Amino acid sequence: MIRSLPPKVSAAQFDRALAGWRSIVGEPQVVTSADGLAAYLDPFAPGEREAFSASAAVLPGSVDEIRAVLRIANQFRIPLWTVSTGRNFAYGGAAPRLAGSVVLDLHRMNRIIEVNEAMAYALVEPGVSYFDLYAHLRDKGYKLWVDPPAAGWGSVVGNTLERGFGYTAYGDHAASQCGMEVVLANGDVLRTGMGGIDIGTAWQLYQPGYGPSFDAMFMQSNYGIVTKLGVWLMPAPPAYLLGEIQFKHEADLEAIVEILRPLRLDETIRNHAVIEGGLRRAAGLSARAQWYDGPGVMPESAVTAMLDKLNVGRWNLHFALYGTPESIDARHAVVQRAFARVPQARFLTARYAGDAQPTAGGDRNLAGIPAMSAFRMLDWRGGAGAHVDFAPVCPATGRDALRQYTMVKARAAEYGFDYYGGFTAGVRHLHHIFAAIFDRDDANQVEQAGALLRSLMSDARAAGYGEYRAHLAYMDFAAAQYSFNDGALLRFSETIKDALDPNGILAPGKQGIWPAAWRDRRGYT
Amino acid sequence: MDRRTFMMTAAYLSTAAGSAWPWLARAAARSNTVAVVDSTLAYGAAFAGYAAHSQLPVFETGDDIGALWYTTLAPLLCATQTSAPTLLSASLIGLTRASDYFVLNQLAKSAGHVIEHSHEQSMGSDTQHAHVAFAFAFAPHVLHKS
Repeated sequence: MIRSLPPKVSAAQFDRALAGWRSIVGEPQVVTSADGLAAYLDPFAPGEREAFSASAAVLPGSVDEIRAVLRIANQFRIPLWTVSTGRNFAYGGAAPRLAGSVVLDLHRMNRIIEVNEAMAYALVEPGVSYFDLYAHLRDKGYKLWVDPPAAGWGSVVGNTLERGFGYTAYGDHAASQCGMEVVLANGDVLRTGMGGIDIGTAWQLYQPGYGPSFDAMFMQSNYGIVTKLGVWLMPAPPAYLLGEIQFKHEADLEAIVEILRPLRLDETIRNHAVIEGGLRRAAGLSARAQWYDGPGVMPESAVTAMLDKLNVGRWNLHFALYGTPESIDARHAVVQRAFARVPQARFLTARYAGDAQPTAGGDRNLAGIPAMSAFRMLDWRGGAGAHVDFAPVCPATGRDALRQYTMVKARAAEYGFDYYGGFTAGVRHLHHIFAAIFDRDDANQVEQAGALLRSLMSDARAAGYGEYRAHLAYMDFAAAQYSFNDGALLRFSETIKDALDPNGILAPGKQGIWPAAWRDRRGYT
Repeated sequence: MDRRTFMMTAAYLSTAAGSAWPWLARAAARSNTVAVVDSTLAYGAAFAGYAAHSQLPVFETGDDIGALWYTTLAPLLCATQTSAPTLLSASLIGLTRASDYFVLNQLAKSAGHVIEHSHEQSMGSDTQHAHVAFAFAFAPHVLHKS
């Protein structure tokens, strides 16, 4: 087997760097074996996995160790790719953008440093998953909820930094973040916002601090290594209601969004409601082959038959209402009245006491309980299931939602993929998430998924849309689409990058931001 | 009855797994082995019967393999490890859907040093999800929960 090396680094130099890292973090915490590095490949890569392979992984256990690791990386100009727990599947997993980078795996840094029940926040390290934080809150009896994303095994820090989202009223993870500790490429350690007052107590209470505020700079970026992060938690409500409204017709999407937006704006519905496509809803209940096993996409007749048989809507709106039973009743009446305007809308409702738990995974997410049931989607198409996601931001208008849906569905069909997706509702925008599900052992499906993503991105940009998140393979393309004034935004990002990281050692290429040292490695745009 | 169907009967598994899937029988024979099964699968009941016959703790996957791992499997495997200063290893065997196997595989490999890992996947049918039979053996040291 040919040994993988960091780019522009000789084997002898790499050996010296590895020896240095072993002396810092210990022999077992430096991974160089093929078996060990396989864990850092992206199992869902829509193409050759090795295109994003690491040359080694280093697992520091403290901020001091990170600083020492950085000194060596700077000395040898070795690029590092930071991951928290490496669960960013559908967008690259733990794999680095620049092949040969060394993964800086922070999962050993897994302390829940503080939970403050009165102020409703936690301060955590990168290795803390949503399952971990949830279990800690339950074990200690805190009356606080986490807001898990669809896959609860993810890191709280990692998901927040990627601007992930969940499904409760605290579903906007970036907005619920407060205070960071960051190690810069030169080893300097800073604390953002009120964290600058080193004996202060407001680090997790007031985001801006004094003067310019930098937290957002460290999200979806390669400007620093976030080692601690404050996250606001939702006070456990006295009661909650989980509602599902099923809609019969494809074109109902327009009305759903138009009705939902004012309810989000006036906070009748405070959670990140989800408008789930019928096929995605059905996939949680059955396998595709049960309904159709012919070539190409599922015919409309098969989709309709499936939805009817499973009692699932073409669109299925999931929402939650939290609070006292009285306030829930009042808001629920408003919601019912609003959506009753849509012909044949079907209402399903379940009420819970604050400490009661729903059983289904999606519902559990709405109740602040982490789950992994979303991964059952891998069974939809059979074989070794995988998916890569297309994630354009959609204005919260019915016209835009229907336009994006129609565009994606038609293009996906050309490449042989069913429309498996839905919209998660912010207030003024929707996160439109479409998953191209493929069998990772089927080379043709892998290739088609990759080609489909490129087409979808081109289509979306031509219509004036952009993605909020992209797989490693499309990071440059996604960044290039934000092209106002000949790419002024990316020029600005790279100017900052060069100032903060002159040796270009931190995550070159992340989100399309390349340091000067590696700018010639920019990919497809 | 084809070969696979025959192999996935409790009777066969109980008596002859060693010859068909020696890795499964080997793992099941270890002292600190835990089994997980999805009984909604065609051969789930047979596998559960095999695990019970081998006197292994058997856990149903339920709706959420992640919850099962974090609340039950990881603490159990970790407890097995920490309470075994004689350096006993631990094993996890199972028969699950392909998606649950994917999740367990990721979690198991990040939980500790996997010294042996074997699996065999079947194709699904128009009424059944594909299933995966698997075994993980962990090195004798303390596991991490994630």
